[in-house]
Amino acid sequence: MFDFADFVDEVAREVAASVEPWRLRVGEAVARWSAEGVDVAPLEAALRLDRAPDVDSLLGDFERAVERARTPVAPAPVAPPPVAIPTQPAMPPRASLFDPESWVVEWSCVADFLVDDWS
Amino acid sequence: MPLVNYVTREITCKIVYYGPGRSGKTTNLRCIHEQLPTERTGRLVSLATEGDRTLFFDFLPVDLGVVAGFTTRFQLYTVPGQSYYAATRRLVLQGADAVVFVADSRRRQLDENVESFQDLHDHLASYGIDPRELPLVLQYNKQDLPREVAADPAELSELLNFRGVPEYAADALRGANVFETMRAACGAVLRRLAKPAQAA
Repeated sequence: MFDFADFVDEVAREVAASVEPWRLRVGEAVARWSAEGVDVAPLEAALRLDRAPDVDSLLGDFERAVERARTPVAPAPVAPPPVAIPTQPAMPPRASLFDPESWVVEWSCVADFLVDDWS
Repeated sequence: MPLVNYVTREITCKIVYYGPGRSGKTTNLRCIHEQLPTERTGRLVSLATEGDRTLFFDFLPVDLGVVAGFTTRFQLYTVPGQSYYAATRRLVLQGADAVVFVADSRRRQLDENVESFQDLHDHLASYGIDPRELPLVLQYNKQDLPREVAADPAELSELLNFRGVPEYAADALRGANVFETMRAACGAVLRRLAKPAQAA
């Protein structure tokens, strides 16, 4: 008769004997840092290594690199934004200033008024 | 290679039941499905069957839950045994972590067994897999039949087990040695976990 609990115990023994503790440590670090939004590519690359790296150094270096990246630095001097140069109003052509009075008189909306004022 | 994810702490292993048509591969999975606690197995999915013959494949997920800190799953597959489904067999075999070869003990099927065993090796070779590197378990099924009909395990072993892999004389209809076969395959897969290529 099949004993499921015994089977699971056997699987547990095999898993415990086969997994490598250093991969577990690196895997835990990957899970932790990736949950915080940190790029964990160097740690994932370490998981693919054939042999155990110096895990203490690996994790220590990685943690320090993350801290450095998170430390606020003095903002770099910011160049003032370029000043907006207002567009100059176009000057009327000199010819129109030559005889302004006649120019106004020819403007039908005001011509009568001006004539009256003068008279 | 078994898929081990050290980040999510999951282990997933694919075990393929291989063998000639009507040797009892689906019967093995049915027996496992019936005997395992219901909360540990998913549905036994049989894709496309004609009568009692598997035309595509069967699939049975077995979820052991968290074992030694890892969520551990076994995926059991069968292949269609008929010779004309070679493409399907090759497809199902892809990514297998272990193979259970279910041999039909009937004497008149001995040649079929050898042919299917050769077919297995051909497909593995097509994937660039050295058959000696892949965990293999042999099961001599239908040992309940009278001796004049069925070859005895020693005879089948002489015929098929030139690698000296674990072997079981079974009667899948009644469940004899079905779980022992599965356990041997699972154990062989898990003992290969400490290999670098599968780490994720």
